[in-house]
Amino acid sequence: MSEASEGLSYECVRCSAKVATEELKLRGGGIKCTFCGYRILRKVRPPVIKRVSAE
Amino acid sequence: MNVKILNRKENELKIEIENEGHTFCNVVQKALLKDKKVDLAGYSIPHPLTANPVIYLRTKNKSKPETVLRKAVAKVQKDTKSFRAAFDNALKVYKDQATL
Amino acid sequence: MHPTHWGRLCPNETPEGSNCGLVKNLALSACISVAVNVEKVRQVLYPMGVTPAPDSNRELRLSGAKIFINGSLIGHHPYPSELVSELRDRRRRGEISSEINVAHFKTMDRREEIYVNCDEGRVRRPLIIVEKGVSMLQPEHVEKIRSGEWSWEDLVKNAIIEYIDAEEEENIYVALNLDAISPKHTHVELSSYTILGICASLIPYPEHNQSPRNSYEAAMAKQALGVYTTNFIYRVDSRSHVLHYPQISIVKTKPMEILGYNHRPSGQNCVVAIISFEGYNMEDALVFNKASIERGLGRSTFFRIYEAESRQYLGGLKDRFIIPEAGIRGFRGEQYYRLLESDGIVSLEASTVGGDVLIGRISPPRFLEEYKEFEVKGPSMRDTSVDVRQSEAGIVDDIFITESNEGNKLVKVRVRDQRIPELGDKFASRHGQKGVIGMIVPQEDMPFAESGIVPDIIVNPHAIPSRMTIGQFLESMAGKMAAARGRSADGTPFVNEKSSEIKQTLKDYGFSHTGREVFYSGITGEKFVADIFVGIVYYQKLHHMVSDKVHARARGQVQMLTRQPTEGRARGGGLRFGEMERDCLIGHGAAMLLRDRLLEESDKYLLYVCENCGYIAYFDIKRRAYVCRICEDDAQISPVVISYAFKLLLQELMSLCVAPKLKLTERA
Repeated sequence: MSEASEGLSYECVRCSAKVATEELKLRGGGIKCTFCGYRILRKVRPPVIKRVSAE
Repeated sequence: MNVKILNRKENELKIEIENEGHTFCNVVQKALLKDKKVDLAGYSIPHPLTANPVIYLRTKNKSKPETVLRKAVAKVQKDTKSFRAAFDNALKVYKDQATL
Repeated sequence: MHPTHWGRLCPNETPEGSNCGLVKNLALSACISVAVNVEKVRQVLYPMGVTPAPDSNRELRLSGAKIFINGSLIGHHPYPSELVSELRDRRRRGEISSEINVAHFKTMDRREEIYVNCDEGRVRRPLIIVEKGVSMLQPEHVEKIRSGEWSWEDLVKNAIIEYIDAEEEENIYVALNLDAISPKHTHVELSSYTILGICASLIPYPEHNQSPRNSYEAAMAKQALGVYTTNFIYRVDSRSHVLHYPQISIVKTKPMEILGYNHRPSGQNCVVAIISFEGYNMEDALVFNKASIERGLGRSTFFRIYEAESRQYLGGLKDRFIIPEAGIRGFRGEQYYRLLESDGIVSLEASTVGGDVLIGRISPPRFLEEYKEFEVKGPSMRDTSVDVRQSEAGIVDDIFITESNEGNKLVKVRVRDQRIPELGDKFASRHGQKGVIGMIVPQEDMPFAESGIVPDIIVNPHAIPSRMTIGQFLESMAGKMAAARGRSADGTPFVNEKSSEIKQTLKDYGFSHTGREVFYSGITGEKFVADIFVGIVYYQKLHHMVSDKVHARARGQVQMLTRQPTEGRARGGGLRFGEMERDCLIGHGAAMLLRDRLLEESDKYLLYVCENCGYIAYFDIKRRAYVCRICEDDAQISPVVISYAFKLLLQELMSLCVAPKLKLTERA
């Protein structure tokens, strides 16, 4: 399914809890929030600084 | 300001001016038209987004277009200077009145 | 149109073109009946004196009125008028369902008939009941509604309003408004603007427009951008547009409030001047103010969803979300995968261009079973990544990871693209005056009024005379008046602020009653000889934007079947050079150009034909020559230049057992 490592984490859409990918694998690889069991996760924005020009 | 001469004939002169617009060309045109030696003076901007303005000048009889153009531009410079002086003066007068 | 459409179907809201008149829209107050049990109605009628049909004697059948329920004859009645008024009274009192409508027909030659309808599908409209020349709706009822004590149903229950279907409407006399009521009237209209449907109700002063212009606007209102729902951030709609700075129109209509349009408006109020400007607003083009656009006029954002599911196949094989490696079949090139993170999915807020991969996915080869037969290990996984559409670009807005119904991992990526108005984007007022931006002019070159006001949009005066869309002028002046006095204007159809009031108010605020103002040229500084008409008009941005349409192709993909260029911008297609275009070239006698269009730039093909028998020759690999199977040695093979589509035609005919023979002659 997903081949991830290096501290990528996702966020549960309902309870905003952070779920890391290793944990997902632990629970059988299905997409599920560890806290509330919601099955939709969001990707979290990487802490990169972006420059936006004003136009 | 880059000026490129496109056409130069006996009494005619056509020049292209880079990176200018109505601000420059219209004033020069109006100054040229006041000169009696000018037969035809006009400018056009082929397309505002892609092209530079082109000024076209035709003089009467024996006048050289370059001379006429220089004279017109000099007049414009003089007028602008005197306007600026008058404006600064008026501003000063207004400010002085305001502080009173 | 038919008089019965009054109050039931919108006279203006219908599509142009093939569906014109076939696709209709309901009027604002109309509603559709739901069935009432026929038996119940019958049980009401019989005790009222209706003799069932089998039982009526000859005399009754001749002299009495025929009674029908839903079109079927059920019996006769000697006193039809009383029956009808009793039925209607009972309905008003609530003793029989308000869904029932009764119509009474009296004609000179035929006997009287009463039609009672209680079936579903009738379009009915509410009318205020008038008794003895006095409307049943009185101020105290209005007060009760305002205070919330009464609702609409209470009005119906208390016999103030009743629903009338098309048939019963034949028996009533409706007054257009409260002032027109006379003792002969039986009902009065709720409001005349309820004859319009939803989209037409958004048009201000529509009664001053030529009717087709209102129909065009009714169609375009559905293409206008706005905020379609406030939770668009959380939604995964495959394509969506959101206007950045929507405004409530300053010239409103009453139905707008009722419909809730003002909660989600879809346009902006713009200062609009009507002048020909430098030739850039001809043929319905618009000139826009550059500074207004820079301040946010007409800005919108476009969202698109890309999705990928990692499926599972037979034999345990499954897709994987991963950054594909260089050896894999279909590998696009290192740079296309540069935005992917370790999980194979692009990172948020990454800037993407057409072709960049958003979701890296590899899949097992198709048709694996065939390879198993030969015991050859089939090719390895192939790349089935999802990439950004070729002609689009954007920033990754949000990514959702979830499970599909079958339990497979499903990834949805939303990409957003900011669309600032540019040359070619389509805008329209609410009067069928659509146009495309022809030029964006810096504010300093715009014509200016003495007050310093500069137009946001310049419309060409040539757009007005043939279209006769006076509603736009009235909206413009009403908008100006509304802006001056600080209160929005009412442009409701038929009951709007009249032009005389507008003119007077404009004069009170120091503007000319003509709506015109003194303007100076932004270029020369000289005063324009004529005063320019300027006001405030609500303009809508339509979702036809040039960046979604611009397309070019020199050479590219061809279809497998016909070997002709593909169709559609998304597939890098070519534009069809159709039959009529071919006719034009023939008319010019441009033979070589025709040949170029149809062969060189399309599906030119060299076909080897046997001159002897006229059939297609085939290439024998062993002998490395073209041979004709039918006339082995007599064969004379020659090449012919034809279009591949023609060769296809020959083969299709051959498949039908029709033998197309080609007779060849030497080229002169």
